[in-house]
Amino acid sequence: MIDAILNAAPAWALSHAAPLLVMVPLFLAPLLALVPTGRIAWLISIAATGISFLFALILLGLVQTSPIGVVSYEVGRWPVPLGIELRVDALNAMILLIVTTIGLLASVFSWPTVVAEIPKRKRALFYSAFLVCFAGLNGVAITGDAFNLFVFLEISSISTYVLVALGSGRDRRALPAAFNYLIMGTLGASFYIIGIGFLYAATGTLNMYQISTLLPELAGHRSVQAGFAFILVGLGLKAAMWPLHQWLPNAYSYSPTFVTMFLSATATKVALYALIRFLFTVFRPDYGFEISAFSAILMPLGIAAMVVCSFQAVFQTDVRRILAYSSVAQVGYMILGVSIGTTAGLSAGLFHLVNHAMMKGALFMAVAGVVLTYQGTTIRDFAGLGRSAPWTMTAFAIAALSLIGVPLTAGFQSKLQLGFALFDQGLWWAVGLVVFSSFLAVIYMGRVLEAVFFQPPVNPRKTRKEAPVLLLVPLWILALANLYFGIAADFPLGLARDAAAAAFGVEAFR
Amino acid sequence: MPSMLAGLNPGWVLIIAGVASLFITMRQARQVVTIAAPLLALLLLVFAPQNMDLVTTQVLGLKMVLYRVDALNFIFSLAFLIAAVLNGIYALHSDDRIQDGAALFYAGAAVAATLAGDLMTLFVFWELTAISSVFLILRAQTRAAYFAAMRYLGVQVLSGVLLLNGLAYVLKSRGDLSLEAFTDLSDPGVLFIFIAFGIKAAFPLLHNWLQDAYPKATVVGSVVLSVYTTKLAVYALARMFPGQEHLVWIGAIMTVFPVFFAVIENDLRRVLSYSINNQVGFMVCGVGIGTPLAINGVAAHAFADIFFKGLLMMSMGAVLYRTGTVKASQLGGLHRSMPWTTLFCIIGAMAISAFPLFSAFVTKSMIISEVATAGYAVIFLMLMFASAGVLEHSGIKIPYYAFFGHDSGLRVKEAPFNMLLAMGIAAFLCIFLGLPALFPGFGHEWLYGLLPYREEAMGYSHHHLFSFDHIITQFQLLIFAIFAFVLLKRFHVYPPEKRGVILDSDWSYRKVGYSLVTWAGTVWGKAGPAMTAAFFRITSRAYNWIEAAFSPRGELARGGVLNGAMTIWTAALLGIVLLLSFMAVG
Amino acid sequence: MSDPTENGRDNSGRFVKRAAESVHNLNTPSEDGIHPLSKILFGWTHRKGIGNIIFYVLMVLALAVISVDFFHARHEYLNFANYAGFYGVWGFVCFAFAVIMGWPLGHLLRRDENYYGDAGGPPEGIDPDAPMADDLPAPHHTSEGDA
Repeated sequence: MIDAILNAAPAWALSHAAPLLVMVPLFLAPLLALVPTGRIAWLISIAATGISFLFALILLGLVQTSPIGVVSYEVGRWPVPLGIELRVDALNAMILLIVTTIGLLASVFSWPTVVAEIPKRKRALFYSAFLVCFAGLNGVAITGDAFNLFVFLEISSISTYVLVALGSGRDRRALPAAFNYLIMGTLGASFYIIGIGFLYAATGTLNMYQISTLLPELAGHRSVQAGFAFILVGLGLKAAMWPLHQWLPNAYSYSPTFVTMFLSATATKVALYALIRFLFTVFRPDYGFEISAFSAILMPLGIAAMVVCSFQAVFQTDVRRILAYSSVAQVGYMILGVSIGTTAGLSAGLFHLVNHAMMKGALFMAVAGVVLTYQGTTIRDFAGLGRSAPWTMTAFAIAALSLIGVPLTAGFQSKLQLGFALFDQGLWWAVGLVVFSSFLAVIYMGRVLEAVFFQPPVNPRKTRKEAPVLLLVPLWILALANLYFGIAADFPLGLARDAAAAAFGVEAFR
Repeated sequence: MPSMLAGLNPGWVLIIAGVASLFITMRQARQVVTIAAPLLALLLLVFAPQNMDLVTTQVLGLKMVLYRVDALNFIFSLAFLIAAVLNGIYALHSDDRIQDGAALFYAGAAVAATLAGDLMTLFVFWELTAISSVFLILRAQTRAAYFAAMRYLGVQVLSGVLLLNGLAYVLKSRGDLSLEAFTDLSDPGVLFIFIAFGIKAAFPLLHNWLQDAYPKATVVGSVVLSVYTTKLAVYALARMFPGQEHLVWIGAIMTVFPVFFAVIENDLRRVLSYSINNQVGFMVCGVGIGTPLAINGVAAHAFADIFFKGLLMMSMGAVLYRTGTVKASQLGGLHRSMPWTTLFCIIGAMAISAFPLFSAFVTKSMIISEVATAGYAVIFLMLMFASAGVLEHSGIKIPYYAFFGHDSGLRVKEAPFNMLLAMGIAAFLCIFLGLPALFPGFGHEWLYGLLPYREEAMGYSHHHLFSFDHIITQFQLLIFAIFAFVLLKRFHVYPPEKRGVILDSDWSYRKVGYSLVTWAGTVWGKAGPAMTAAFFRITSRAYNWIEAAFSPRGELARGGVLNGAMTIWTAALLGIVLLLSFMAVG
Repeated sequence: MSDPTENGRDNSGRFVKRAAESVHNLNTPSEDGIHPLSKILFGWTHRKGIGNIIFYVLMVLALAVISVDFFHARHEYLNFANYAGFYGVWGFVCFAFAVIMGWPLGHLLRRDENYYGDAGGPPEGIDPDAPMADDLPAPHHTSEGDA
């Protein structure tokens, strides 16, 4: 399919794919603020995300066919030390594909939920903020410049705060949640920019690739180490690394349902991407301080996340909070994979990242459907929905099984890869903990599924009431993807392996 | 047979039929499916070519053999499929889509796991049996069943992940996942697999999920459950661990300890669950001996057990269906109103007690004879004890307390015709399998002809099975044991049936573990804030500074959720990372 | 047969009809709820003094099967199994031991029926006419997910 797109695309699209991927949504966003009605804004946002999706496919194709595995673009033809470089390799091509796919599916299904949750006059503005956020996330993923990454990170974050706060129409608690998120997000971004400052002081450049070539002789430098610490903590906070995750449950629970779905599948993923980029490309996993950070910080925190947050999820009564805590736990899996410090570990982490985007996307989308038709997110509200909304709930169940890691689902494949990677390093106790955490997932998802399929509805309805078709179609695309990639995992696993190889700077392709 | 049909795995036929019957609302159509699908699967199995990989696939560079029939798995899957037909008949009186679908799916997954040609495929279907079977318990829709189902699911999934864990290890050390038997338990991967199998086979101390869950399932559910999971585990053990000496002892202990529990247990379906444990113990012991005749004994005994245990479960199910209870203390005298059920139950009881001319006599004796030949004197005595024990709890207690004994005054209808039919077929099998070969291939020789090592089985059949010594010693054991029963009853030393639950090892997690978790929760609830408070006091200056820097007090308080703590975490983490980085280099 | 009618034509038909009637009668419980078949199959268990009869019959049987050992030597792989009466004695001892252990074990292990707090009625799907035995009152669970 990618070949066909590459052949069909005009020359300008091929040569300018990287900037256009970000610029199209970014420039359409202010336009949306001027659009009179929400419906037009919605259509434009579908178009914008769809164009970005196509460009992401093109970029992936370009990266895969490129002899060095890198697509580099100098913005405005300014040469590298002065200008900004957009640098795409297998790692961020994969992330871009995830973000744009989810963005496209999210904007397709968004309209019914936006109608239900956002006041009429704010709808166009809402879509405007969404496109800014979308562009920002893509920008983070695409740029090769450390400071530019900060700018895009802030662009996406600030619009995210707005999006979360717009949940106040449904639940007033969205306002403090957004405010907390703002504080914590700003703190993380500040840490990051401080870290960049340290690196700049040591190396004199902001281009990530150049930093990475200059660093080996500066590895003992104090300011490099300080920069590493600040960047690790700052991006860790953005990626909801335990225990810096506390902004996440509230932000996910009270924001508009559409926003939750989009953010859960993209925002933490992009931050995690940035972290991986710094850990593996800018810094190298063989630096002394990074080895100790892996074994003493990231691995314990990853494991703590997947155990502690799974426990917390078990005790929640609100489905969205269960899923939110589960997200933090899943980030723990990814961080655990990263912290092994091998290509196998990193590719397992990235593979789980892809799969998690699919399953959490589907889960939150189904929840959005329930909120839309039944106005409630507690487990009690879900009781008996298996009968009144079988399509929505079957997709929910598929994604939930994938989250648990039942064989023949995508979640199983990535946990399997993670297990293999851990075994390779002899960390079988960590495998045991992964298993234990999956066991907790059985409990917390099991509670929901039990209510959905085995309990009588709270208010029995005679008629079936499904979510609208607009929501069901993307939902089932994601749910079926969970099944398909659980059986034929070659495509995402190949992406993740290439991405890991690229992160290590190895140009190994299939 | 056309090649397309040859590639159709009988297990998958049942799985597909199971999924389909979840959606068939018309009762009659579903009834046809539940009977026709296992029959079709039986045909497919019987005509499938043996000892070749019929369906293979490649997943992530791993070759999976999805369908392969050979002499060992043929007899197990044959028994599973015949049992599926009987279960279908037994369930005809009920109109429950989920139960029908889950039962078919569960049977199909067990058959597909048996017919798997590599460990990965075995694992996949292993998990599917766990997931599909839990619905049979949940469908009872009682509070006890709900919690038991959750515990059951937990244990079964645990077995699955242990198996997976072991597979990852084995794949690394051995390079493939073929069904070649393991010899060395000291390899951790092999040990993982061993324990995973052990959980499903209900090894001692890993056994409690069985007695916990089976008696709480629905009427049909416990009949279906009693067939598959444990026998699948026996098959897996016979395939992967034949001749593993630990199994001899594990099996012998498994035969002995349930006897004591079964004596005092009041719930008759739970008595039968202990009896499953006890019978599987014989099979595990036979796997441990591992000689051709012992493996024959294991396969044959599993085959026979599926029908006599199923028959006993069916009869108790019929009692439960008609009276609403299976507690020994509340039953008695039911032979007045349920004579057919009584008759079938007695046939099952005689079969399980290994009376000559009944099925267990021709199957269990192969195992015991091999134990004696191998010179395990203590094991032999334990198995003899267990044979007397099984006579006690399954042979006498079950029929006596349900159908005879003190008349409870319950006057109910005879079991529905479909139940009687299923019981009748099972009873026929219990007798037929135990008959001497009046002509070649009749009676027990039919079963012996299906065994993995036919020559040895036939040799045993000709020289030992119906020898005078064998028959007379068996009668001595049984008649003296029955005489002991009569004597103890006569002098009123037989413990009376009392209501109550009997503690078993599940007490450790249902009571102690649960209390421990509750206690830990309470302690954490108190200690957590205390620790946080201490932490806050120590870092209050930093806290105040950060708070003043980043937020007005009021706003954060309204935000509510530990934001202050998180900023401190951020700072603390930064400090740690910095310190580590400096230390690592400096 | 002793059919009173001399009319040979529908003899077979009558026979089938009578067989069907007797099968029907055999499967129709009388007013006191007792199944006719049970009288045929198990009527003997209601005889007076049946307990004694069973006891003595079994005793004779036991003596008979054990006496065989005194005339007939066995050759088993395990030596102790060759002793006269081994199987009988071991069967008796084991059975009695298992049963008598029921007393102390019952005291040790038996708890109240609601010990785990989940005692309840029969499962779903039993005969609607079942004469609900006096069981613990525990309704089918209607818990919510966060119970």
